[in-house]
Amino acid sequence: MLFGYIMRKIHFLMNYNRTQHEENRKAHQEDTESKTETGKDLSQNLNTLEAMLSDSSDLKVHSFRTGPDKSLSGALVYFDGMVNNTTLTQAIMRPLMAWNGENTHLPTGKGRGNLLDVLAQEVLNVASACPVQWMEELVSGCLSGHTILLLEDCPGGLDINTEGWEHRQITEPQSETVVRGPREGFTEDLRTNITMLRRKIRSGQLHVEQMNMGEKTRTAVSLLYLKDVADPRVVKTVKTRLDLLDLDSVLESGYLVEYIEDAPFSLFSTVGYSEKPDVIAARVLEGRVAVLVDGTPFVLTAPMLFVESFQTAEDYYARPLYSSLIRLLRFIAYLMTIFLPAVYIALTVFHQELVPTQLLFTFANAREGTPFPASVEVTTMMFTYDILQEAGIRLPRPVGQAISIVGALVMGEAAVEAGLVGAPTVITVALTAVTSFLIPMQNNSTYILRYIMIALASFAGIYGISMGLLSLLIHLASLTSFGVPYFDGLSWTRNLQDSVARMPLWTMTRRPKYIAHGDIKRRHFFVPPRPYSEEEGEEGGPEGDST
Amino acid sequence: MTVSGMRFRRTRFRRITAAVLLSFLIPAALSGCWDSRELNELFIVTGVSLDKADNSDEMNIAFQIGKPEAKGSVAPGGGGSTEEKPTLLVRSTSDTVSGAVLDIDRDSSRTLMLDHNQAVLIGSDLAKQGGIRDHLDLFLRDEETRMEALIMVVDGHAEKLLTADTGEDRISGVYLWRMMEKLSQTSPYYHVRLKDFVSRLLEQATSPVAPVVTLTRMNDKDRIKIVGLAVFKGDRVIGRLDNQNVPGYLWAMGDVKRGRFKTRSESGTAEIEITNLDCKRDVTLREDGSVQVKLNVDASAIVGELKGFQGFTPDGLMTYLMAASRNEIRNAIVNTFDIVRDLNSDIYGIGMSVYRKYPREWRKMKKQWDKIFPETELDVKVRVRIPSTGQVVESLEMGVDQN
Repeated sequence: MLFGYIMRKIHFLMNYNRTQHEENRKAHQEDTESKTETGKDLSQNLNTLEAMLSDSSDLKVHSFRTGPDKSLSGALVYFDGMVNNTTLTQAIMRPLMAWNGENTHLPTGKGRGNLLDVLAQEVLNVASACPVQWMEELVSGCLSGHTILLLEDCPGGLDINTEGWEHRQITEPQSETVVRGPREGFTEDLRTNITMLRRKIRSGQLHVEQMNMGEKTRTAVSLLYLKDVADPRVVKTVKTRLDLLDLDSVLESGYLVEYIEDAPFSLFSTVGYSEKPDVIAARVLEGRVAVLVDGTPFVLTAPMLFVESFQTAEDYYARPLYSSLIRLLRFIAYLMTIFLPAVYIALTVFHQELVPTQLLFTFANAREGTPFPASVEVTTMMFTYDILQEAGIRLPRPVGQAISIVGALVMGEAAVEAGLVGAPTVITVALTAVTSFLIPMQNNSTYILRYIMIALASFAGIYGISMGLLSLLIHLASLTSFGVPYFDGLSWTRNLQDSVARMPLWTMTRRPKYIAHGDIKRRHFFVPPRPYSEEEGEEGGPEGDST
Repeated sequence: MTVSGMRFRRTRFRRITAAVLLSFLIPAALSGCWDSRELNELFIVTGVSLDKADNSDEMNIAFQIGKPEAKGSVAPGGGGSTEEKPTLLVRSTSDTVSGAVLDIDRDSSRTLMLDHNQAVLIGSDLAKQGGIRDHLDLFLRDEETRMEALIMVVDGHAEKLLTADTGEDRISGVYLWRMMEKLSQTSPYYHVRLKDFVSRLLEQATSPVAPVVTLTRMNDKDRIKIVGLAVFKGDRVIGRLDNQNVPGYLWAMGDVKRGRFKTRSESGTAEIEITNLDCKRDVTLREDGSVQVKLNVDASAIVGELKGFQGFTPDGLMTYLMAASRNEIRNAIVNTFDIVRDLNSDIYGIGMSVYRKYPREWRKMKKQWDKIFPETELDVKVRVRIPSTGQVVESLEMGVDQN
């Protein structure tokens, strides 16, 4: 309650700042939204455009002459590498060169204003070409890989979509590998990612909204949700929060998370993420909103619940009994990875009477001759492990192996041999490390919580640990994610079909109550599928075959 | 607006800070085990022995300490250090146990930790002298000690048991614990822990018992043997039940899960194994003020071993065995009861049974229980079932023709 109180207060302060920001931003926007109009003079237009794109060397300007008797001069402006060369030559250059004014509705009279329309509609072989009037629009088109066509004596320009840059192929995601299940992962390309989701959910209700974020980067961000399932309130919250953002750059979806979280100072993330289209599709089908950011394979989903960290895609692909067991294992591992080192300290330093005699002697044997107190020993080893892990992640793979050898032999074996640390400490730290890999979604929080618990246990033993556990539970129970209680799906009153245990799919007849809205029904009957039997068929069952 | 906003925020911030600080301070005010003790600063006590000292007012108190073997320090000589004793014995002479603890703590680099004490051993001399009630006070009062610790009487000096090297367990305290743990499967009344002993002392009418152990040598190894049950009167030992009399006591108490007895006759010897034995007790107060105790023993047994019994049919044999077992159990109970009655020490808790049934009358009887108990009459009814003969039906001799 106290934590919740503090968090709410901090939240209030944050919002207080935010509203001020918003006012500033609006004023700022109004200032900058003065627009430059394109003139009639081609060379002047070109000069302005180049100046606005800061005369970059990769900006290509291709002048050409076309039309009846090659009487029209014009220019194509694009960034080298951002456009698809085939489209450029086949669909734009070739028709332009071949066009001599025949078979088209050439505007008569002086005004050449709609000549661009004629080009777009009758000459060019492209799907998307629209005439624009403002210089700023031309600039932003150019920056997103479009080709700009300018004509002499013609105000405005033609913005032709020729996007085509190199991007990574769809590969198996590195962060979430599966034994069973689809192996494709998102790429850095927003279009590809949306396509992957659309292919999974072929519903007309799948709604995609596009926006650009970051004043400098103008990163494309897409909101994706099922119109008939997602809670409109959540959608609105996500949208408002995204609209309020005051960012100059968005290089990864993590940039957004910090801005749209419910509790920015909490250890726990209240926005989910995944690199796998099937996972995101499943969450969207449960009524969540997905936020796709161009340039990263990590897609955000909101709202996020605590149980989500313990659910993996494979839980639903494997059989329910096995999945439930594994999920239980994950919960145990979660508790272990937070509390194991703390409990070890508490037992050896404070509550020796709780340890069975034989085990106490084993502990005592290990502690005999080690120079540091148990808490220092555990903290140091934990710290060392974290250093090793960090070193292993950042290093190139061949060097990484050296790290693991150093870690295993030098830190583990040698430290025990030399009598610097006891073997139980090493085992504790190793178990803590291994168990943390079972819940990668919560790694951010467990990492810090572990040290907090170690500190509490070193000062007050089990008593400290229970104080820590209590405040942790209070905090977790008071957290919300986009208005949805973070602990929903674990609380007793709600449907628990998909929490600690994973019930068979046919029991989950409804989408999660706390997230989905509107079209809540997922399946029609709460009955296990029965194999077709001959007798029923003869009696005229629904699947009866008269032949 | 900004000024008031700032002030508003500052007071908020102060409140939040205060709340955070308080949340850490409040638990500090609550009580708890605050003292952190590193394992390598402790003496883990695994056994305590109390012996009579030369000076009659004092006791020789010894603590057995499990010695941890340091992993890191490798002996320079090689394997020479493996012969080191696994335990350490620290002694002190004092009139109280806590006095001894203080003495030892003062003169040593480590602190005695009584949390894992396995057994309190009392020398037979001290046990006969009495006053154990006072000696046990520390073990009850201190929050560190365990009420689970065993209590035992040792024939002769208790201290020598703490240095015993049985070759089975490194630490004899742990050895004793395991031995008694195993015996408690036979009957829970064999396994006398501090709390059992003390609760009997507090009941007053019921007298405590404690197993008697002794140390012998066999094949260059020490052997710890249980020789019987010491019978207390108050907190003083007044007699002993030998090993052959102990079953009679245990069976009368009931709740036996395992046991063995032999029936011998001209036709053959049978070893019967008890698998379950229950005993229901009923007391009746007679008009003349004496007490009659009715014991209803209900036992299940299996045949352990058969010798002889030529010419018996399997059915006849079973009938015979059941009758023999009945007699055997009844005799054992009655014999032991006679011994106990002679000692005039109510180790059965018959007084408590009377109290439960006749609470009003018990008020008067309480003071004269010493006079009433020896007059108690015992009536034992035994029912034995032998549902199984084991894996073979007949003994090898049974099939042999009598000719």
